[in-house]
Amino acid sequence: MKIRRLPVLHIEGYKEASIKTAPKEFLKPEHVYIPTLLPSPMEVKKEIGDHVLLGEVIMESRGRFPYPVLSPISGTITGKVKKWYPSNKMSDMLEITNDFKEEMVDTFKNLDPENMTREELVEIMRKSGLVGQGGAGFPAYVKYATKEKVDMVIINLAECEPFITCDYTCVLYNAQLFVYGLRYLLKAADCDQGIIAIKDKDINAKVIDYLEPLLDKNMRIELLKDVYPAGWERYTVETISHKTYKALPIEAGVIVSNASTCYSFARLLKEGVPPTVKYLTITGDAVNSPGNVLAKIGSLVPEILPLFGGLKEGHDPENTHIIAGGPMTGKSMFFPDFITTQTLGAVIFLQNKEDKKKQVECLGCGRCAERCPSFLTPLEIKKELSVGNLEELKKLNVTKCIQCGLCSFVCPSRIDLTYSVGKAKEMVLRLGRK
Amino acid sequence: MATKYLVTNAPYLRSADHSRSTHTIMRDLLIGLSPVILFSIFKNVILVLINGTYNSVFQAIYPLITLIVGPLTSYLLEMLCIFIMKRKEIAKFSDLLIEVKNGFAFFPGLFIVLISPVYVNMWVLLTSIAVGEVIGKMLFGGFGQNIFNPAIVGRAFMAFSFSNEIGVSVFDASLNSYLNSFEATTIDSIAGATPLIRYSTLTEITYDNVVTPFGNLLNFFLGTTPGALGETSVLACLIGCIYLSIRKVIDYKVPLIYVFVVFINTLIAGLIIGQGIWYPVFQIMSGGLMFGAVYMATEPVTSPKTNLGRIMNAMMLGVLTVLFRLVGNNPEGVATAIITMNIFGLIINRYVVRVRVDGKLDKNEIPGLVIFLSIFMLIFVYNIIKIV
Repeated sequence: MKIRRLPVLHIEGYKEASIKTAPKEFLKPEHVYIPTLLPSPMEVKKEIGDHVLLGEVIMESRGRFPYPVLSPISGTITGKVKKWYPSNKMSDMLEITNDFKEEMVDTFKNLDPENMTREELVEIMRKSGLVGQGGAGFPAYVKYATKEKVDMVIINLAECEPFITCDYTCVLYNAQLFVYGLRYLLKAADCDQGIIAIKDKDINAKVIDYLEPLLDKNMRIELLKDVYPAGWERYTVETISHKTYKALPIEAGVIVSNASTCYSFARLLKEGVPPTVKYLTITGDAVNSPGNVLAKIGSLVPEILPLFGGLKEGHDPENTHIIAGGPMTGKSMFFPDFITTQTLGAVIFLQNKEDKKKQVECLGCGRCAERCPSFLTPLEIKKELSVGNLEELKKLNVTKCIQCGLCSFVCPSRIDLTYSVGKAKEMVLRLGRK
Repeated sequence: MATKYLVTNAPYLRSADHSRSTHTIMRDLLIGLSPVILFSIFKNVILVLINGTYNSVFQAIYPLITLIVGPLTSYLLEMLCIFIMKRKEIAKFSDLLIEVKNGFAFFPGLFIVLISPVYVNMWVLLTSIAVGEVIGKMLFGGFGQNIFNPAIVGRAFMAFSFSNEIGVSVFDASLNSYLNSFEATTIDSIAGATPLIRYSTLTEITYDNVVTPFGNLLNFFLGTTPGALGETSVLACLIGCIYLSIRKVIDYKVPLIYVFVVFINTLIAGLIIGQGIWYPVFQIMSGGLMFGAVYMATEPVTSPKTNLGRIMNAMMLGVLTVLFRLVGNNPEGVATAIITMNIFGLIINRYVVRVRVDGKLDKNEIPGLVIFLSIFMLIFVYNIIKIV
């Protein structure tokens, strides 16, 4: 199939602020919170009052691809409370009180990856509850359990969104472990080509220097252009493998995993620790000293914040965004007391610069359509959405939207196009199912 | 409970915040227009003052007055319209000012002045601006909602409703309004007012007949020929075009294709009737073609939104301009072509939206493209046959 040139755009990175200092650690929270309803309804296996070990299965997701949710600490389940989840929704969560003993379950002790078969590796990946840590949260084992022939495994280190540096930090401070993880990801996929996709920009030179001597013969680094959305799975696969696909990268013989996923897998195999920690970027112009932190999953963000000097004095909450995730695709939160998850990469406190003047009408410049990496026409979609014309929306292929945010980003009239297209996509998917 | 933080929709970075807001685009448009405005002031005010051919100072600075009164009129009219239409939403006077500011109300008036004769009657001008602003823009819902280019609506209204008054100078009923008082003394009175008006009355087309009364083709390029206030200088339009293209306010392909189609079409017709290369060059440099191609055909609100759509639009504009100007013998060919394509632009927009889906041409769209190309070729060939 012919490769199209996907429209992309260079965006200012703002990454320097959070990589000046070494990552901090936040591994001993008083309590952790495990949501029971998000991202999908869970089947809870434990009762309030039960004692749990680190890595014990607390609940299980019952979707199309079931995966277990493990306890990130050892302790006692002390109650069911309502807390904020990083999608700006409130959810019931199990509260686990830490006993600070870090007692682990036996499942992952003394693994010997050298002598494990591909099936065993995939099975241990499933048991560990590892999900893709790039943001989508798709269970990682599903990709590796494929029956297709895998040509290459691409580790996505592009980190194309501005501000976020968690993958960068993760690899920079754990380069050896990271390569170790990739080695066994290749084994789990039964393929002999491992590619680390990284953006070609100044700050990444350090990571590349660190990684290069550590790599095995069957691994190599591929440079991506410093554009947004370079980390989009489709862009990465199409630029590196020169093949295109319809729905999933495996159609092109490629498995894409995030760098943090690779790191978590390495820790699982080498140290027997299931994915219970995650690098997290805390940054933005309202934070005193931005940086990265290795935090337990399920900790509360306000408890982590003091490590970074807290929020600046005099920031106006009513004019400050708390963004869970990247500034292009993340969600803004009402309150800072939400929990961290396996898929959360950054928390950004960004002071709003938008002037409060009334919005300007659409000029019709067509920049949104020009820049859409999925070749959609956001302004027409918005128009059709306002009259609720479902047939026309289907013809406009709204379901292809990846919500990258570029249309809203380039709009000179700052119209919320991404939101409208997202709503249209939701509507088509919902009504199409009936 | 703690204070709620600000919650809006992603993304939280917008290019409109620092570099590319609609306001900067409009500011750039004004800068892109400035060569044209400056040249028109130079030609119609300063040259007249230097040569002292005026009867009164008022006559000499009359073009300057229209350049101020025109935009002001459309600004005040927009304010009035917004006040009437959105009375309930507007609490303070400053709200009203922001609304008008976001409507970019100066532009319709400014454009109408620039494409009108130099000494047109003030009441004719103001009525046209009122029609363009109110009927062409505000009745559709204001900035961003209009189907027709408001300036062209006003100009077309002027051409069709005041066909007697438009050509007569407000200062001297025996003179043509297209000639400023300096040109009225230098251009031979039998030459006719503008090159295109003269051209439409000619029975025999030769270089000596068409171009020589106004000097040579360099005069056309520099813009020292009679014509509407801002339209005459090809050079000024080109400077504006380059600036606006670099600033990405306009799509340079539109003027390029538009002018190229007119050039090729008249070149072929000219060669068949035995004219040299001067004939197509004269056609692209005379009248409002350059001004229309750079500033009017590229107007984003009323032109198609996608790349292919804009190319189709520009191609059709080219053949339609030749059709209206040379076959229909109507000096207002550019304005008529643009207003026609405003209507068909809606269809192109609707149609090309689907062509673009998925980044490649859909098989279902090929019949449509074939129909478009056939209509284009049909008018193209018809133009040549009729001119010959």
